[in-house]
Amino acid sequence: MGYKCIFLFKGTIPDIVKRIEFLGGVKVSTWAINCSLYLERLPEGTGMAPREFHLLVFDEKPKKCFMVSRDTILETDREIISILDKANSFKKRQTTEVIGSRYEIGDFIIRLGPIVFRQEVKGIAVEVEYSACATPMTSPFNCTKLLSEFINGNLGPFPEPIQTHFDFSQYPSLPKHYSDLHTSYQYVHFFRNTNIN
Amino acid sequence: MQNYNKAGGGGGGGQHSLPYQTKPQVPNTSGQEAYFNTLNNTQGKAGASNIYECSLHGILTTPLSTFIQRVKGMMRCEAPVNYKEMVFKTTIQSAGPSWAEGSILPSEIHIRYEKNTVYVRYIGSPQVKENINAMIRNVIDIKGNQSFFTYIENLGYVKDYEYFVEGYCYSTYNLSLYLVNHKRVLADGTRGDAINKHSMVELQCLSGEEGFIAAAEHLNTYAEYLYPFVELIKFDHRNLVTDPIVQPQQAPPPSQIPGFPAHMMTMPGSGGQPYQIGQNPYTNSNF
Repeated sequence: MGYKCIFLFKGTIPDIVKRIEFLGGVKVSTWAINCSLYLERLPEGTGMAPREFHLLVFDEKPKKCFMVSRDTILETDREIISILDKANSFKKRQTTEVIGSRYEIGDFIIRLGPIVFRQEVKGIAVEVEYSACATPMTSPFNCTKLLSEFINGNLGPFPEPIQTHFDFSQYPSLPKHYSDLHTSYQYVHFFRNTNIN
Repeated sequence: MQNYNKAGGGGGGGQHSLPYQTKPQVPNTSGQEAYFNTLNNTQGKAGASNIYECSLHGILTTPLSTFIQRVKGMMRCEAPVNYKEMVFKTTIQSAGPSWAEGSILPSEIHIRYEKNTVYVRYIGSPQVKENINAMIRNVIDIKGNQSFFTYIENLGYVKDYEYFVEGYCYSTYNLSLYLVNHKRVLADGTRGDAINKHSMVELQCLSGEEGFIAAAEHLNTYAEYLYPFVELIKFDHRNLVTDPIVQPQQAPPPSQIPGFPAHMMTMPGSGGQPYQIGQNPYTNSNF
């Protein structure tokens, strides 16, 4: 898989779809992600801060889910949700969903859709993937600059340029090559920064 | 080579037996439609696993060779079993419902580490039903990775004990038989001596929520063919650790019990330390 950049689009969906189609983009499929916040169930009066983690489900990975906690990101089977339910130690508190479409323009894949939180649309999430490069930090081609040019030059203009470089140093155990684990962290970071989760 | 999808992995007898079947196995005998239907329904829904493990246990005290001959005649596949198993228990007190407030759930998470692959199984508390002649436990299998150890500790689980399992898995279409020996884990994580000189036998299959009776009958039919080589019974392992008669604080040491065999007064591999009632022979820690 290629390197991805996720950002909040402050326009309407028809606006950005028109730009994508003008560039020759073709809608290929639907796209959805689901991000749930789980909090530890503590007995009343303990006064402790509950532990938390985010659980992400991508519809493109039907058997997998991704758990993002403070210092670990884990890819596991989706049955972990059943274990969490049965273990009863963590409770799902809130869920954010993005349900939209996937477009392809050459080496670029654009996924976009409205962010739904508590049945309210909080904005439009746009994910741009450059499928030709999976090592953003070491590649001489430096795909972050290329992504930045593509996004700011073709999908904009934006009030502030979209930052395509992302710092993964908080999770040193992440693999060198870009993977779904990186994407999971980017989404959790994205939802936090947009004050959704 | 062990085939988890077909034969079901895992194994072992006794308290620490662990089948890791990633797909439920169903009997193909007639009159078990409920069994099939339930399994099909549960497989279809992601995240809604209501799969139950039905099992019978026994200890092999008769000669191994004759028993293996009998088992090979009954089963289709044979696969070696060799892995390390770690059992994690939760430390988080329940926040409800009211009758369970403040209690700690008896569920366990077993992690099997085999050839750099991590298999995870959630095991619910055993359901001992009087009219069903098999041990029934809710199980959920997932595949993990090395990060899972860190993650499960973040979730409030702590490692309770660990051991090595060696032996063979014999399987046919719908059930598996494990003939295994458990070995102690030494302080440096390597393999120690065997915990018991006898092999442990577990016969098991997976069932849906409404197929307990059919599954138990199926198991018992097979178990009858294995008698008298081994007597497979429904056994509630919780009796080993929660028997109200044996209280570790009140029970005398074995050396003071009249008639206690002298060779059992020390634990194997403990450097001659006396065995204490209530002590976990797998880790040398107390239950």
